[in-house]
Amino acid sequence: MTRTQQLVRALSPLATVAVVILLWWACKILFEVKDFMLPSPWAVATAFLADPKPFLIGCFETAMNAAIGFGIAATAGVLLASVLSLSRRVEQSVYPLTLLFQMVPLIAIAPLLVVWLGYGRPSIIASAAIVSIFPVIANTLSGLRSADPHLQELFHLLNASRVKTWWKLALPSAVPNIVTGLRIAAGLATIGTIAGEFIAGISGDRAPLGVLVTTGLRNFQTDRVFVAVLLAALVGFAVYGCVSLASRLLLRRFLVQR
Amino acid sequence: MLAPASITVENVSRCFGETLAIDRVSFEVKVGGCCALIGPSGCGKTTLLRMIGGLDAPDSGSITRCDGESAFVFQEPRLLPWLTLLDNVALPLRLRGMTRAESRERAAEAISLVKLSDAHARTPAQLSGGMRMRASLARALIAKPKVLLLDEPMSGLDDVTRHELDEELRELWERERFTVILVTHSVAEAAYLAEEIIVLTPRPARIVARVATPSGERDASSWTSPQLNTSVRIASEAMLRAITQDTRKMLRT
Repeated sequence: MTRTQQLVRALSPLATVAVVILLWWACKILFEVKDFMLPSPWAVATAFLADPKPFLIGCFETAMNAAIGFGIAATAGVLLASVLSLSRRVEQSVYPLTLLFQMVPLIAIAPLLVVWLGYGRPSIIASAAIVSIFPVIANTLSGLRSADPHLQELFHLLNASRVKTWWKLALPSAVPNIVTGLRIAAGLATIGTIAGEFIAGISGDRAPLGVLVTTGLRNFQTDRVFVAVLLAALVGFAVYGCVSLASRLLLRRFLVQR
Repeated sequence: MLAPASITVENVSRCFGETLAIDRVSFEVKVGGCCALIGPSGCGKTTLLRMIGGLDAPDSGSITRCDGESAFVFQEPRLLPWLTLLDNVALPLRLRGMTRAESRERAAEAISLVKLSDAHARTPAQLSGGMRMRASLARALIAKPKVLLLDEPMSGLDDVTRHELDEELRELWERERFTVILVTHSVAEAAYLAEEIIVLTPRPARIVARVATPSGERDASSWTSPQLNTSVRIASEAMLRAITQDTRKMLRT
């Protein structure tokens, strides 16, 4: 790829963003939409630049919540799938329950999380973890079952214990599937975090983005809501980006060399 | 004095559903001996070897292994794609709980036996077919087995690499003197590597002939030696007779 092509490739998404902003501005002017319904891009930028500190703190808090929630989902998901993979009977007993758990809308569980864990970070993290754990379990389980039967036979012949077979064969074989699960979970973790913050977030100096959205709505400060929403999208993008980067490294180690 | 038997196969039969795959096969291989099982494709050679290796069990008859540990070399190298050659070869010892440093040291020794010392850090994808097979052989040798079971290990290789590996394997066996059972469909390879060739019939496998090969050391010139060619001819004729009889039987039914 030539340098010009690389530049075009890098600038294309930015050009799209510029077009969207222009359309937004055009709609605002052409249809004379009121500020509390649709603030102008300039008003949104001003709302952020006038007082960036709470937004930056909100970004940090939301990113922390999402990262911790994702970390818990990733670890617990891989471990739970590993336990389920050890026995078909255990899988048949437990897997449908995890599926059922996934089907319950988060919005229905979140108030219960507040009852059990109180307002604040624990409930938000639990919300992020609950939303993102299922893809990790489902993908890891499928990956753990996909180890090459020839290699499984080799491990059997070498009298490898179950734990060693899991560690040295099943888990590395499952890496491509685990990575897929983690990528899906990364996107979901931010959604779960923001939803958790709507219900269990605490306002104040260290209010996360979800709380800034609800506070802005209550005060009819739509420009501040827009800032918080855009920043939430950026946080989601950053979490997904970090996971994608880590995934790429994992895949390079366990997949490319095949 | 004759060497004691390392492996005794007695009246072994094996069925898969209604199909009889192995029919009352009996033979023995003495300690430090090398025996080749040959026969037409699908006759049950691999099934027999898998039973000797403990990967399958006979329906009747018995298999006794008097010697210590055995190692299996499969038709495919079966290397872990994400490990280096050194770690692949060290795997059997790592699975037994040996430390990484110690197992790597032993792996390096085993790798030098198969002449791959300059490829320690390469992954299987960076090795040629012949090198992968050598790696698989090194992994089998690392635990210093008394019995080596080889299931058509050279089948996927080109003729030059195959000859080269056969010569290395024979040299290794002459030096180390572990007991070897080799499954192959190449009569020439069987005659070059083994002391005795056991010829099996088409399914169900029965022993149709046992052919002794010339004793003594082999080298590259042995491939064309008249004595070796006599063994090849006798074993080939026995196999051909068995196939012809089987075809006649099929045509009659």
